[in-house]
Amino acid sequence: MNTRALVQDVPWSLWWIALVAVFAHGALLLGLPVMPWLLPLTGIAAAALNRPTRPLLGQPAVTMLLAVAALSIAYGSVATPDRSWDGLATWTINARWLAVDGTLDHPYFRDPDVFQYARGYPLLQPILLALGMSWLGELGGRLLFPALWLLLVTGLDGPLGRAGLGERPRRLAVLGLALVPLFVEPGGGGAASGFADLLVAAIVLHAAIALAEDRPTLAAVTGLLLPMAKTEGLIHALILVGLAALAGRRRAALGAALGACIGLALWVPLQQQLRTPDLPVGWASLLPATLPAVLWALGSAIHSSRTRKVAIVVAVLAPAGLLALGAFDQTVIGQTLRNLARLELQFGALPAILGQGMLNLVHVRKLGLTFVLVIATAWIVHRRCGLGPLRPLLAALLLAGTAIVLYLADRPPQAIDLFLREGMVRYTAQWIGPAWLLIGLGWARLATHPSPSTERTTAPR
Amino acid sequence: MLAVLVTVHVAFGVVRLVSGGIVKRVRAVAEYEEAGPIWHFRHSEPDAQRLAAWLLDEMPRDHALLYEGVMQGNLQLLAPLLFPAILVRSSAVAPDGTAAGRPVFRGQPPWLDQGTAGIPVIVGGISSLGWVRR
Repeated sequence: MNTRALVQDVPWSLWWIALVAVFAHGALLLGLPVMPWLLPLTGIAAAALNRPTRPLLGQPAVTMLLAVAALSIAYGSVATPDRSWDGLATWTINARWLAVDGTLDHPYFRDPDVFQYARGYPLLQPILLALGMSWLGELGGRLLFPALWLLLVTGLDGPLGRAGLGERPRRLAVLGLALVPLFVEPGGGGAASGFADLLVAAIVLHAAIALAEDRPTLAAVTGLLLPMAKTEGLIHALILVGLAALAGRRRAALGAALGACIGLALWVPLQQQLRTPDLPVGWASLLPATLPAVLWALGSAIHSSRTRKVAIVVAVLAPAGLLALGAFDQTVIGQTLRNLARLELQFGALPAILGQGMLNLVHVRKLGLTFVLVIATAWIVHRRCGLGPLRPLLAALLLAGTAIVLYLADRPPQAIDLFLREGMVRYTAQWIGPAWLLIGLGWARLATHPSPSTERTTAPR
Repeated sequence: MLAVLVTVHVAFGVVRLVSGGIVKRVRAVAEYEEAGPIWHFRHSEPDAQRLAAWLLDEMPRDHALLYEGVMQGNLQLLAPLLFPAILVRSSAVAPDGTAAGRPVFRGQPPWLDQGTAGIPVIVGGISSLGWVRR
């Protein structure tokens, strides 16, 4: 790939978010303000990197439905300030403080005695929201949310087209993703709710595209953004790096590892400043930023038959060694890994968590039939022609499900009910893009491997 | 089979777009506009609603309000709604009577007969808000 192709590997809108993320986190780390001018300047730079294109939505009925949904989300976003709990209490309040002068130099951020429920939460969405607020006002800045929804929904068409899927099933897949009720409706986790799950979902879809198509720059940008978007974004990035390396998608693996290392190097020291303002930030806080590189090296070594056995031994021993050293004790991921290693999970809650996880797969009111379609498509593709290149995507969904279960089993006992009731379906929805990508790529695979007995009754045509 | 499943999914999605995405959303916005920010406390105890409404009306936004109690629950709602006022742990009052560099709010809800001695502290609960003077 030449330089031009590498740059054009990433859509304009994602470049824009990535440029804002890098410059804003860099400024905050250096104690400089994030100036409102960053928004238009990075927008112009992003347009120079990759020219914006109008998404081709195809049939008027599809375009109309997408427009209605986008307008409904836009209305829900700007009609009033936050109406959902986490949007109000966690994400937007950080944006409002950032919007005051573009800095973190407020007792709200720096003084541990000041009430802040979201201390140390990732800042990407608050930064984007604060910049939007500085140009469009408190409510106008919330147009970020329909924009993110469009980034999610319009991202699916490209890879399905490149996989050779016909126009009609392609539009159907885009519509399927767009009409997932959780994001379209009001309520916790909805696109207009101000929660950060939509931002994560949009990035995760593009990460999955990078994984499916072995695209290095796209993998790097999504790897960079995921840890900055939400705490669990680091897990998503590690899943992307590990699977790309294991599946031999070398360019995507290297890109994702590099991007995630940079993203963590920018975010982890800042997070430590915010979480424990009294403690100095040392070089040790950068240690977690090496995790994606270590995972990339191990995954690549396991993929190669020459180094597989040694790599597997290292893969088992290295985390144990790091945990024994207490290297990551100050980080969220370190604490979770330590609890995992010591088996300090809520084992008694596992049946309930697993049960709720299975129920979520058929949680029609929130996710429609998305995961029923994933299972049915994967099963039919497997029977007809083998999963082939769909394997990494399916593995990503399975690993994501496992990570969600382990994360919930690591919650305090008194909090598990709340997470089961309200959180689990949102975490599942963060993977709705890869799910529809797998469905669409599965249909494309079925279309190129027709079976005489079933070709009229399986994939939408 | 896949065609049937995706058709059902899309049809259900269209129904939810209309019933949830539009009708339910318009209703929620109307309710919020009628009630104002206190709408967030609609599931809280009546005393907590009354106290929160009074604070939203009366508290100067350049002041700090002292707090105790659990962080999860009603304080999560009150703190952002009072922006740019801040809530500061009750134990963190400076010798000069300020908290986090701001004057401490010393008002008293008129319906609570607690006198004016001491400094008021709001006590957070899951669905409650208490008011004491320390």
